[in-house]
Amino acid sequence: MMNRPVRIASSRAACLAVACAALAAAPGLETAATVQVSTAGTEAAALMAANDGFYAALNKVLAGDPSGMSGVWSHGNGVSDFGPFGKMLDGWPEVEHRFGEEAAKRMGGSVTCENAAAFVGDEMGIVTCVEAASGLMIDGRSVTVRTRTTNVFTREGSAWKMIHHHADATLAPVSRR
Amino acid sequence: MTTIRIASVLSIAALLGAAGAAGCARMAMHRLAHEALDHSGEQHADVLAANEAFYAAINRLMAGSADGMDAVWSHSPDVSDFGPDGKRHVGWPAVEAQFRAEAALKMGGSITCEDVKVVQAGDHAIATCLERGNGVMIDGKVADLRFRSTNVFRKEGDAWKMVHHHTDPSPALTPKPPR
Repeated sequence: MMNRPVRIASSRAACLAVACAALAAAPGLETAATVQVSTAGTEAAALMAANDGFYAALNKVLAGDPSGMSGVWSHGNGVSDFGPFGKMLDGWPEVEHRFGEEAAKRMGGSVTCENAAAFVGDEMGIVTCVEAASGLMIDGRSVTVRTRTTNVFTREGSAWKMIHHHADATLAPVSRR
Repeated sequence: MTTIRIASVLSIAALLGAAGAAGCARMAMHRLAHEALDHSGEQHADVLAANEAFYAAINRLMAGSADGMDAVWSHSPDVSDFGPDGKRHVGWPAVEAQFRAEAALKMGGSITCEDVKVVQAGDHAIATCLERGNGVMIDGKVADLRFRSTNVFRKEGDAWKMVHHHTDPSPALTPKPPR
């Protein structure tokens, strides 16, 4: 389905997936800011609100509280998380457990989701952006990094629920677990 | 929303065979079984076939030709590619140009897509997997390529077309800062 194109300049969201890292901002990261995206009017707004909800929950994780994630994510079996630490988490129990571990680190700092673009379907929506993280304390040092991100949501009743998060593996090598 | 996980080459071969797709043996898939292969099974097979076609095109690219990408991707201005170079390419002309630049490197070897998981809901679907490089040469050396991949497809007419590809950045392919 091709929907009416509109522009989304940037998400207001604040974000991260627990620690982004050392990938220096590469040329080309910001190009989506001026690109048309597929939307379906109010559905696009609802999708972006769900995306903002994820980043609000993520900033709570950085502050030490993982409780916001439960309302953001689907708890179904299609859930997966490819976070910046390189893991491939499969299913809500694994994903929830990992956010708990990350919250326990109390990394601090904040993350925003910049230059967002979206694909809005009738039952699935995808938001892409660049996560800009700053002030995170990881292994005793302050980390500032920009990370490409893909967030996937599906409709559950009247709500958009997150089913997949992929942030570049910038903090650790890729591993299955 | 329905989800399917592919565990073995045999299982995917049977599924894709039923959908009339070919060449599935190239995909190495480990995790087991089909979850919720219900009335949407045919859609899943079509998405898997589209994902397989993308990796066939990737392997042609490794050999030096980007021509296979044309039929795999949507040509819409909203398509995007987050490739191993760490950049964000947006719009079909930019995405196509990047694939042609990568093909010109003639890296050789092959890329497999392992542990494939498909989630399809309505007119969009994702396929996630672990991409592994085998015998890929970068800067005269065999590169150890290992990326998590998120592939997004959209139903356009009767076909599933790729609209977004996200793979982790490769230090070997990320542009070096000027000295």
